[in-house]
Amino acid sequence: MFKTIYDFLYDFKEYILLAILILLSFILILTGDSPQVDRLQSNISDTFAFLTFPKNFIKRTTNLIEENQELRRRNLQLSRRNAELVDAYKENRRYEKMLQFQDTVDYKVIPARVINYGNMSIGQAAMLNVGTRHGVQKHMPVVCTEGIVGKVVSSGDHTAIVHVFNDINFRLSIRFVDSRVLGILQPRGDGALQVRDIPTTAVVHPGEEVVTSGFSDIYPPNIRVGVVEEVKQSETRNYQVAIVDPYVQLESLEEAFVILEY
Amino acid sequence: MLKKILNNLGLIFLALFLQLTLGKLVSIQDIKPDFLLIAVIFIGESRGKLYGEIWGFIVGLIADGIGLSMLFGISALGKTIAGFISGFLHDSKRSMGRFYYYSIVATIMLIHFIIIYTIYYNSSEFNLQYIVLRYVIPSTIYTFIIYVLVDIIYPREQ
Repeated sequence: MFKTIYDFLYDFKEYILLAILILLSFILILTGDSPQVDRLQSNISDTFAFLTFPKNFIKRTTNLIEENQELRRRNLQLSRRNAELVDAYKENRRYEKMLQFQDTVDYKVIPARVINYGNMSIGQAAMLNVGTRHGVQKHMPVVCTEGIVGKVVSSGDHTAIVHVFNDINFRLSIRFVDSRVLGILQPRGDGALQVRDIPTTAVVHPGEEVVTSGFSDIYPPNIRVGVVEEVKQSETRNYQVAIVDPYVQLESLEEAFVILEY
Repeated sequence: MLKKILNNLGLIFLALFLQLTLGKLVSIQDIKPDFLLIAVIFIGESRGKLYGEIWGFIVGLIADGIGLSMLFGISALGKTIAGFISGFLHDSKRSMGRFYYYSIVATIMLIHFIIIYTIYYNSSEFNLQYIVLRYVIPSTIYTFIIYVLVDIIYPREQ
């Protein structure tokens, strides 16, 4: 009898095993939520997880290449954006100063943008984007937040030409703040400013601030001009000459104010 | 004996590797070829029903375990049956014509995918017709094409 059973099992081993395996599969499907099946699945996953390494390596490598390209592109964009932001920040700071300047001064001003500078064939001048339509007239003083710039010498409808302080023909009546000495500021020709014919008895010292005197019909008083850099004797030794370092850097000037009335 | 076991293991690991690396890359509309099924059919055809169903079960468990299917046990079921049926091709490839041989292989694949997809989508809103047209038949065709290509490139003489 046992032999018969054994022969039966042996002859139909594939079918019997198939039935067992199908049953086992159904048990696994139906008891998928049980802890034992979970443990089995996690053990299989842990054992054969290494098979995913090549795929992940390939994926990481191709992703790295793509990511690298994307990062380069973004880096370029960000660099550009950063430069724009820095520029915007500086511009913002300038506008802030301009607004504060407008609020603090007690004369009527109109803000303007310097649209051209230093490109004149003869002389030193700047061009502003305001003109008679904005109330700008000839001989109006032009200043910026740092100090004096010059005066309007010509005004069109929308633009104005400004005679700036470093032009060889520019003259400005000034006062030394500490010593209260008056003088005439003029360019030296090499970019520096000087005040000549200061009496030898006057005590002007380096570091002393220079402002407009107010004796001119054009410029209001106490507008900042610069600071004394050096004081020396004239060639004839009868007077002193003060070299003045201006506050305003004309080469980097972008905004200014035209004083309409004071 | 050991050599055959090692050969089978090598084949299975190769199929697993291909499934994991290429499966998604070569998928068309979410239909991927089943390299593991191809391996199981190879084993069943070369070793007979017994080894076909045993290896089918083991391969199916591994596939379920590493996440190639969302229902643990379903690949084991499908590949066990596929491995068993492919065992009938043992020592018959040369005697039957190529057309009959490939017809049986396609039928094995069809049965395999019917089992898997009908069980898996049993609780979904898809009806049987949709499952067959959208998943079963495309998967069968795709896997069969790969099988034929492999068979042409690497004919296995019994």
